[in-house]
Amino acid sequence: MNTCLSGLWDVILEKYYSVVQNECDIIKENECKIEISKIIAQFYASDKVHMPLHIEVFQHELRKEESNMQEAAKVAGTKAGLCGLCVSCKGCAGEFYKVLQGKKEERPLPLELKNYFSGKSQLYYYLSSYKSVKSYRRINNTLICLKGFSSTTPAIYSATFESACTGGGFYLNVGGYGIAIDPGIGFVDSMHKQGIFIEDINAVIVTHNHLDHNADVGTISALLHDINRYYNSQVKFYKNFFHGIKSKVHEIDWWLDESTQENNKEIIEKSNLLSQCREWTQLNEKVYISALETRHMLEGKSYGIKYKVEIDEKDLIVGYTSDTRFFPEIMEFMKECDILIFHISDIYEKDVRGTKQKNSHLGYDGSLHLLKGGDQQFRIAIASEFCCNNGDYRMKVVRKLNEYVKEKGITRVIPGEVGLKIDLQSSGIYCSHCKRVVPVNSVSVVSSEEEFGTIQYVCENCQYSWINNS
Amino acid sequence: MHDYEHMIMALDELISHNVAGIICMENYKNCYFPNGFRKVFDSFCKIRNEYEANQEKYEMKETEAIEKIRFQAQCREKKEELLKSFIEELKGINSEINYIEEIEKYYKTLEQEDVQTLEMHLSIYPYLISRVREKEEMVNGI
Repeated sequence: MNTCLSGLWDVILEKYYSVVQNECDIIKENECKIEISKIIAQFYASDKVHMPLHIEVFQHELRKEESNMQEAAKVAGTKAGLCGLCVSCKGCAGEFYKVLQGKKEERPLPLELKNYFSGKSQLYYYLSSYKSVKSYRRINNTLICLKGFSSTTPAIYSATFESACTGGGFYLNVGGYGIAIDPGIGFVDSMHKQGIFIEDINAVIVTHNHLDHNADVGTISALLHDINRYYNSQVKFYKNFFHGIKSKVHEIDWWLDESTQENNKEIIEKSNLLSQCREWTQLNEKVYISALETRHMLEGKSYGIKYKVEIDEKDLIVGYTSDTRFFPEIMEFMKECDILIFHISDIYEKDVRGTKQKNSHLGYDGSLHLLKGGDQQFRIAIASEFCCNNGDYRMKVVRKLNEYVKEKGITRVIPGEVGLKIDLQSSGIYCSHCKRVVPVNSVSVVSSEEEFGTIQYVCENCQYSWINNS
Repeated sequence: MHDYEHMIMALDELISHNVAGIICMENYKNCYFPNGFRKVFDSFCKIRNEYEANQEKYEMKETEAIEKIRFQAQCREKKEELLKSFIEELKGINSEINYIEEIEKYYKTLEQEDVQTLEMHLSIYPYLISRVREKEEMVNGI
């Protein structure tokens, strides 16, 4: 209860309970009386706060040698209503004197827990951060890579070596409509670090039931539930007093593969199946998706997705192979894409030599077929989901792929890394340092000195200043 | 009690109420109160100067707890005075409404909430204004 004197009551009761809990005898009660009297005297030592009549009486009674705490509280309690400090009296003084008289039982607030209630809730800070980040971040009309490596690499690497690398997924935002694509291990964590919050997600798409593609489905669902509950509790209160208050519920459309839908049916009540999206299916006024069943899993289905998005009244198509082996239909399906995200996973010697294709992922040979095989002309191709079992080969593989596809007219193959941000309007890349959008060809992809370290995308200006500084 | 804790308490317990009251009244009267916010900043400066003058007491272990609750009580007393003057102003606009009753009703509902936020406390000002507007709309037959 927030009253003028509630702080004083808390301090006095804390002292009182410490005596009561220690099985008070007369000597201890006298000590307690003296202590409480001291607290009151200290509290009113300056004239900054006004002493109401009931406290004057209480103080007077406490100082009498023959009186005890209960009697002092009883006498003071008769004047409690005459406080006059608060505009609307909440009766805090009366309640306080009742506790001292033993007429009301109240459990003392443990000292250790006191600060817990004085702070604001985590969701309050979450929403405050969201409000402040919104004013300076740029996520509108962008494709953001939140994926570092495939499923096992982050797990094994963090257990074996010191630094941990991340899994994740992708985030596509078109005109404020945000899509979380394959939110795998560490997606939500990476998303928050990039200034993307749960309210920036309007749709979640999961291509298949593997942890590195759907591990954070539950986290997103829980976060959504918490945020809506927080909004509802606020709205419920305000509805008592203000007309026209509307319930605020943030909703997410779920587009899932069959197994992920089955596994999450208890937490996601309503979801759509990607198998329904063989033709262009509208997600919102500017976003359409189309799905193709791919060849990745022995049991269950997996899908490759195309996103047709409208940017400045022009259509742009973003393709996402997800996990699949190479097969001619995927090349046909992806050929009209402007931007392609393809998953390499690990590479094998026979796969690099071109004598044997990988069974469940594109690998080296499958990636080359996809990039080089047909008449496709991607503006950017993002190589992603590296599984580096024998060391960090990302830069080397991408360099080699770039050599092979030069004549194909693909502007560039770049390795995907958490934080890679592509501007859909210009198909340019945000420089990791100055955060300006620069043409994809003028960006240098810089690997970390450490193996498995973060890859950065650096514009020419930042490169020069680096060189000059060093 | 650290410097920032003192500042946050002053903002939460008093200054935010002061600002909310001014905004609501300016909004209702559709006019600008000259020096309205200057007075708020003045009162904040006074509170800050007082803290600086008594910083030792605020930071001493023996006196810190008492200083903290005294400062809180001081802010709350001022906030109640502010609410009183807000009501007086509203009475000048419409004296038929029982504002104390409205406030009691508001706090009673607020008391039922598991978590009370600062925004909920500050919404008392727009609520009282909304009561005035409602009465006006009834009179004007809207």
